Amino acid sequence: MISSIPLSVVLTVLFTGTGLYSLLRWASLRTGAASHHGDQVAELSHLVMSLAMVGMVWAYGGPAAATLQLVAFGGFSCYFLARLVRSRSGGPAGCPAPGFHLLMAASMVWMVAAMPLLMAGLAIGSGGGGMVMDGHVMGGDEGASGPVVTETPGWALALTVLFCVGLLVGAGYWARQLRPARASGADLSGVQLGNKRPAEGAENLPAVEFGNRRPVADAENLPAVEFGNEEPVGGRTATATAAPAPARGRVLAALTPRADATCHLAMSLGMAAMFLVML
Amino acid sequence: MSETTVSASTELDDRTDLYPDGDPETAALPPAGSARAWWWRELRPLLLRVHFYAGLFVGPFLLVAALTGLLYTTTPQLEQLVHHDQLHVPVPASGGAATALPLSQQVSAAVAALPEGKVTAIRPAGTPDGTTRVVFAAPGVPEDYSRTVFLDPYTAQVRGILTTYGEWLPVRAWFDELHRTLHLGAVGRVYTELAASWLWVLTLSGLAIWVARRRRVRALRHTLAPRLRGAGRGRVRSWHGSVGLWAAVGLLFLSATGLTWSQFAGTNVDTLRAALHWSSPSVHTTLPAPLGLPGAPATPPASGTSLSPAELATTAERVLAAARARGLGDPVQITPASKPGRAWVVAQTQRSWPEKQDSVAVDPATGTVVDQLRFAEWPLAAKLARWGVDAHMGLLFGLASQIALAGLALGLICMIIWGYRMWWLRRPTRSGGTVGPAGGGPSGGRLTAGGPAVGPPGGTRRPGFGAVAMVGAVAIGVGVFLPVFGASLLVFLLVDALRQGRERVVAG
Repeated sequence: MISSIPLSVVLTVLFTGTGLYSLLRWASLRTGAASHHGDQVAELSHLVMSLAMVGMVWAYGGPAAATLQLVAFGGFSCYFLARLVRSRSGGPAGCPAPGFHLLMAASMVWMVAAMPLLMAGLAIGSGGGGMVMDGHVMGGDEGASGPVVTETPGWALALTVLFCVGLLVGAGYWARQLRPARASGADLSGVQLGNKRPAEGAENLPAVEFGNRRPVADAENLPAVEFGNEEPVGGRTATATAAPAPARGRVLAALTPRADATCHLAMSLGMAAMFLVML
Repeated sequence: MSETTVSASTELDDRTDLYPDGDPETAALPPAGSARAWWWRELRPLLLRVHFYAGLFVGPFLLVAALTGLLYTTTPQLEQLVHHDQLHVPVPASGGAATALPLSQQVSAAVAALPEGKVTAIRPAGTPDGTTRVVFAAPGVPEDYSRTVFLDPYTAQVRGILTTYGEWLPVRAWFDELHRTLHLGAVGRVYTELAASWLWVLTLSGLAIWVARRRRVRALRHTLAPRLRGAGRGRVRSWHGSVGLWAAVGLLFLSATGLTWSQFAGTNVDTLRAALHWSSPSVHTTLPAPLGLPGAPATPPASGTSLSPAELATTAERVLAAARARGLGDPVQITPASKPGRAWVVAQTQRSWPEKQDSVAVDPATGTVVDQLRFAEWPLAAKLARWGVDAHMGLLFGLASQIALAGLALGLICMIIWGYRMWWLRRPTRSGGTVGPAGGGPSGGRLTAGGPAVGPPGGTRRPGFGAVAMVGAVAIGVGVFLPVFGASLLVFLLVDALRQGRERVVAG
């Protein structure tokens, strides 16, 4: 558990926000109400990451939760790696910025797996209660009888710094996407980290358009959605529909590429901050 | 391929193959525009799909739990049959009431029969024809199990030595283990947790679908009772829904109480109960420090395991006498102190109605009662938990409980079989059926001109964004509290997302 309550609260609010946003994004993709392209697996990974981060902040969980997280984020890492390889080989990535998502998933694996090493400096003896973040410490009570690590190994420190730098670079990338001149829907939904080539090509992005006139699935059952984004999107100018905006329409309208970039930026910074706290 | 949505009316109720989803109520929705229509239109397809997919994939686990649970309901009688010799003794025919030997004498005989063990509990005979049990921790016994010596209270003759699990004899312990873990240890506990975690979801979603559906078509009789005539999926669904309706309360109860035993959710339940002060209370066993008064022991009383056999036997008798003096009637269990300076505990163990769960803590050196706790003083939540656990195990009302639980298990087994039967009847590869776009498609599962409805239930309509987001938020909260539910739900969603992604690539 992080000793600073204000920092804990800030991180909790941050990751609750990203989790909520991911949930809405996933729901919009799952129901076909999304105004632009996305990847459900990526959104679910964001959701699980956010939950895991909140859990870490408050040391909620246990050895089983740590194992579960390792499996989940290991799986997500494999998925994003496959997407990255696929996009590199010219195929459709099916996922925006797979390189960045791979970095995030791998960071989570490292964070969970290496926490005993990273938190070594903050260990509180061998009283049986585990270390500071006992919910994520391998061993727990068993660790009480073993040697207590009092210093973080150099290699673990170096690897953590490397992840931290990677996340900050990622944050910089997403911050750049927030600049109005570059806020392109096609860019945001189709790029991979360090590679601006649209992952699926424009022709494979059927829904990367705002003011969408494409007949959305089962359109008669969908709520009237107001896409209020007036920014240039993929070389087009978004148009707002004239339909009145009910609450859910406003929610859907808020799920813009800019909001996506903000969410990614927040997650990157939050995770980097968590790494720094652990050091 | 042109799609033909068939409009339906209530009088065509039996023609279920004509309806999207096979459900006539699709056409019987309230007029669009009403508040209820809005949220129900969005929520219903989601509930249908959740009920369908969860039932399809969790069904086998529930089926195993129901089957093993059904077998478990027979164990009280089975135990009496198989272990009759260990449980019962002939009552000596004497002029007056038969008199049992002093407990100390019985305990001494038990210790002599199992000298390598350490006494962990003593259960004096609770009925005239019952045996006294002396429970031992012994080498070579599996974790959580004990060796129990059964004694004739009138002769101190050993009637048998068995490996027991709590108060269960081997036959009941075997079925208990089968129901809890399938004899697979900690890994096996996940199966029951998975079943219990999804049972309430299936029950509530099925209840909502069934009640709302029938309420709309204004057929109360068809809601409460199954259709005896007719054929096909409609009739199977009628049985599935009606039986489910009647069993709903019982299934929710089994799910809730089952989760309290589970590996991961059970820990959270315990934490919650502790935080809300709902935990089962227990007597305080810490003995007051010696006051230096004349007659007070200079050293703290020894623990049960460090006493000599003779001391143990006499102490047990002293402690039982003190508890009797405080009004603790049979059946009771005496638990020696686990370490020096602690009191012995005598607790009533009757788990049938009316429950007897009073307990006292007794100083083993002096026989003084140092603490007493009556069941009547337990917090209501703790009492409810106690009654819930005992009802789940078929103990609370004896045979009536067993029959009710067996009925629930049978009902659940039938519902699972009917559920799979319905799935089979609407399977996508069914002869003459036309596979419409799947759930992820624009009109997934819509009735087509080429044949009957196919695809998953609810496939004719997309769940609304609001419904998915709302249910998703609830699922996150529940998933954190019930980790196996959360993890399995995540797996479902990931598989669904990958499937949809592949369909999109193929379609693109």
